[in-house]
Amino acid sequence: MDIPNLSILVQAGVKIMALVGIGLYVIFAAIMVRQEHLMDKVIDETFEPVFRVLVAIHLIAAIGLWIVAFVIL
Amino acid sequence: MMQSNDHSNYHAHQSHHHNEDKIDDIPLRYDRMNLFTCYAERPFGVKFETQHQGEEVLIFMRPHWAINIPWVIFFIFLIFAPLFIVPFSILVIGVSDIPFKYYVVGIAFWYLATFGYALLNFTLWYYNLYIVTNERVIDIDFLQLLYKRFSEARLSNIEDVTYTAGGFFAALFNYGNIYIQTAGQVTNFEFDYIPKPAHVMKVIGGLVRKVHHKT
Repeated sequence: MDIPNLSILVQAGVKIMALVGIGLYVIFAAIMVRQEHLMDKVIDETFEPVFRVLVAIHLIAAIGLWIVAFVIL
Repeated sequence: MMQSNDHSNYHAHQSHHHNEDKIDDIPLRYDRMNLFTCYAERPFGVKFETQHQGEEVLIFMRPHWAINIPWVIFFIFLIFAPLFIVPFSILVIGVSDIPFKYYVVGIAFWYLATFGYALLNFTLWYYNLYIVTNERVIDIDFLQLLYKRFSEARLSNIEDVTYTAGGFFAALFNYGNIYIQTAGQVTNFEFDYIPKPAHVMKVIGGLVRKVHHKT
């Protein structure tokens, strides 16, 4: 089957699946930020800010990818 | 946040405890922390949630860094996998007609998920903590997302401390498990894959003897 000739309906289906999948990933990334925030209260040590930045970058990248997929797919 | 990187405070901290740098004739250093620290004695800048006034962190531990090697190898494989998968899909399966935008989103998601995989594994290691203070031993576990466990045993409740270190990698990297048997209803402790298990066992044993001697 020639993919560029797929019907608009199928392409819309692929787009919805991609957005749902990346959306679930955004939730996972948000949970990681929340978990880091919870653990921050339990233990406080010098390099925790580095870790906080990493989980924040991960969440921002996930949201960014969802937006890119929404626009270009 | 309760931390400070002030060097003068660090040296004041050292000199303040200068006369207490031995537990039962076992010397303890003053260590600085880094992002990958898995063993530190009297670490500077470490505080925990239920720390009492006057309670000092004597040993701070995570599982030995070597236990991260399997997932790090898999992480490296995931980084390079698209270099093989994409040409394979184009040449062998014959899906070169897939629009470029699907490759862009697909590969971006692949690398995001790869980063997330590494971050999750690092988180599970980073927040799996064992702390020995001059009052108690503490086990802080981050077992999975949104599930944490904080357990403690006072030194006066500890009855027996043993350790095991078996296997090629445990011998190579000097890590092992410590078992802490406690009195009565208090849960027994197991510190898994910790560095220098023999030394840690001696320190905890020394602290327990000190506490029991006082009482």
